[in-house]
Amino acid sequence: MPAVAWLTPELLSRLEALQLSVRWVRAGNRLGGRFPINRRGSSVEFADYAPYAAGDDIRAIDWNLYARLDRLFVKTYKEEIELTVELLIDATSSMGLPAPEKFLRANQLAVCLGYIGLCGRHHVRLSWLKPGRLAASSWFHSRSDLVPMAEQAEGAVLGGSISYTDWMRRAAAALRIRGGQAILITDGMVRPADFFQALHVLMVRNLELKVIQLLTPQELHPAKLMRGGLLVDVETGDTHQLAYSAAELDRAMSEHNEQLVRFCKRHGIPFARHVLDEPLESFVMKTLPVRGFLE
Amino acid sequence: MSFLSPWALLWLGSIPVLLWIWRFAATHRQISIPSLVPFERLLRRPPRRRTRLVVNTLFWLQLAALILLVLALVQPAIVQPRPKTILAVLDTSASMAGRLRGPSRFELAKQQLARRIARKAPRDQYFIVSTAPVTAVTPEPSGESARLGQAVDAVRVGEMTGNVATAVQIGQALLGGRADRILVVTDEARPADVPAGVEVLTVGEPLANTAIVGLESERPLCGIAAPHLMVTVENFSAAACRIQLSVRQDGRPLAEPVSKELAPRERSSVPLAIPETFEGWLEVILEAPEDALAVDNRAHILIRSSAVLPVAVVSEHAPFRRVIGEWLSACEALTWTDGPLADAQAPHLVVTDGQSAPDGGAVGILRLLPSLASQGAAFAHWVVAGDHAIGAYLPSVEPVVASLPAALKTAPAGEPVLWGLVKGRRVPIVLAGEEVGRRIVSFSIDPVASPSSIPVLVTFFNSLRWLMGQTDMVRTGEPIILASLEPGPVTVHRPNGTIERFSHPGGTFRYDAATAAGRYRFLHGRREEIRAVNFLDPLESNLLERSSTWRPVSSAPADSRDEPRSQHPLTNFLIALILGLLMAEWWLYTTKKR
Repeated sequence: MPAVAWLTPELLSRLEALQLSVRWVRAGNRLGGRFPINRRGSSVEFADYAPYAAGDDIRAIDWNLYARLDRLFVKTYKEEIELTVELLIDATSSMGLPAPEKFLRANQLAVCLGYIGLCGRHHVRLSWLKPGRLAASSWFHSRSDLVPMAEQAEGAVLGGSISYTDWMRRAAAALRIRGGQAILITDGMVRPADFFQALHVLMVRNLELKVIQLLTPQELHPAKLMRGGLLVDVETGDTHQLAYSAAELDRAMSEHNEQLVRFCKRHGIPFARHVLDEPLESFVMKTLPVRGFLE
Repeated sequence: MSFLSPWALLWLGSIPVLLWIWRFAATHRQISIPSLVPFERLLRRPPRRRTRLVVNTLFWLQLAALILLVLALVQPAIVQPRPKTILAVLDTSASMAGRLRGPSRFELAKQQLARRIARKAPRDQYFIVSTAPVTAVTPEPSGESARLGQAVDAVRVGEMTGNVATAVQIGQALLGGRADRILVVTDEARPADVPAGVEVLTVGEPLANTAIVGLESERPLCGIAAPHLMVTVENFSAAACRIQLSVRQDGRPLAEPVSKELAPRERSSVPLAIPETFEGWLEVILEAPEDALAVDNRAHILIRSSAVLPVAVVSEHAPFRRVIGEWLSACEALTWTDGPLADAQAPHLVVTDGQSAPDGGAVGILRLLPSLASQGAAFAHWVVAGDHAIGAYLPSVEPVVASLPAALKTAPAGEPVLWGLVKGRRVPIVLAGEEVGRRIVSFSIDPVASPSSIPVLVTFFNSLRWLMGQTDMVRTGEPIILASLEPGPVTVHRPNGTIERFSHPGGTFRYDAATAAGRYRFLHGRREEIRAVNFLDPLESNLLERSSTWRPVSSAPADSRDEPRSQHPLTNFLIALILGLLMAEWWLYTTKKR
């Protein structure tokens, strides 16, 4: 079965009608795009006046202003850049439980968002959070990159356990992540402090952050999943004898998720939760536009 | 439901073992979860309660299979009471028609039986038998209440004597001994020794009744006199009653009615005068103010022109012929011949010492069985048994010396009338009975060897009188026998106007359907025979104190306490269910593994 079999023409046509929601753009590493930024650039869009300094191009001096103010000012123009979209997919072991469909859905979701980005003429890259060497795809630039992008997503494998913060730091340095938009797709099975710190690492690099939490119904109500026995954390290998009521387990899970939501809300980070019993298409078409991911 | 092996219930103790296994498995089962991080705060405190038993569908299937296995070992069986077959005996004897006011006893009996049928269990079956005559009202046991009700409605009361015990025995035989209960609906008194499984429903209350219980046309045996009619009537009531007797021929009064006052429970013989030259059939009619039964108020009798029949002494032994001749010569009115009668077809009596019955017109036979004096036993006393006419004028115990014959080749048939005391044992001496329409009296007295004592002579002439008695008259229910009919069709005109036709192969003709009282006319070619069937039964006519005809049946129905029950073992069904559960468990297990 080809990797893109699930990408039906109907789905693609509906994805093409969407575009990524961009609230602000900061300096990225791709020039010549359609998003102007307040940096002295070479576009034709006037940005501001600046006092003349030695070395400035004398062709930029506004002589009319000099005639009126008797001082030299140079005209500055906005720089137009292309938006880079970093799709960060959690590939730790927790994404493989309780069912492999969880990681598969994360990749499919990333491909959908990536295709929407490509249709908006953005540069898209997929990266997987997992231990070891950084796993990232090359940049995708056009719609025709859909199939390679989907195939790479299909070929992604799950890893072990990592520290989100460490991975972000390594990735920011190695992948030169700066500016643009980053969408993190994760199940949130991480210590909140690590999660918050990792997001800080991205925020200081001028990235517009968005977070999608991917969960199965059993994870939302863990009492259905954990019905007694010795619990084994698939990432850390820690064990614990389970002897708690269903209400206690549900409450603990709810509090943990609420922490993540509160942090994102406090920092203006769009947050959406995708439960696997909701169809992918429905989530992309209905939920994400409402949550400020798409427009 | 009952359990054939209840001790196997101890295997239920294996259920806690199953629970322990599952709890142990639940405690030691490792469950990989995405992360313990969300529950970190929860895990900091120790568990508040013990690990609970965690079960799933597999557990319930295993528990169900275990319980079913225990049930199978217990061998449960559904015990259902077997459908009962109830033999209902409906008394249809003549007394059931008795009524003074309100419904008759028979109507009450039918209502009682109909109520029982309406209340019966759905699977119970009734087999209804009537007593007079004994016939199956339903051809086979039936559980359909409507059909049974129709059958009961169609039953009519008879004009015969009924016997409950006989009906029960015949009903049991027709059912092949399958009757679980017996229900008798009758007007007879409830017997004291009713066994379990037999229920007697008595209907009706004592009723006053007067009845003709005997009818005789007699002449003096040894004298020449006009015949007279003797009617025996009885008052079955606790009050005195005035009756009126009238005689009719073909509906016309033949003489003045005779009235008589009867005391309570009095039986009386009333002589009725008839014309001297009269010959033919008479109808005697009884009328009384309080009379509950109609069938016993009429009777028919044939008055013959010559009441005394000629007697033929037939024997090869001269001493026998001599002694009998001497006895017969003592009676002037009798005509007798030494040897067979010249006209063998004329009605006559035969006195013989032989075993074989002579043919022809002999209407009665008196057998005096010969003996060898040296071998026969002697007796000195005899005892008169019963109230037979032969025993008339004889004291109950009489010193008599006579010789008994030697051992007989065949025992004489008939009802014992006189018993002799021989070495402390009672031996029948005189027996009276009927064979193919002839009356027969058998004497076990050797007339040659015995002295001619008065008791022996009285018995001899009483026997002749009884043999000459009315043979054209039978009681209801008794067969009508016509001797010496040629082959050909026989037409029977019954008293109620119906006609029956039979193809007769020749010889003695026996008509068994004389169930109604009245005159029966038999036509055979040009020959016409008339026989009267009278209802003369004091037991049936006594509606005041009905005696029971019940006697213990040989094959009594099973007691309801240990009535047979049908069992349906469920073990096979349970084993099939267990197999189904195990297959479902196996399928579920493999599906989960997949």
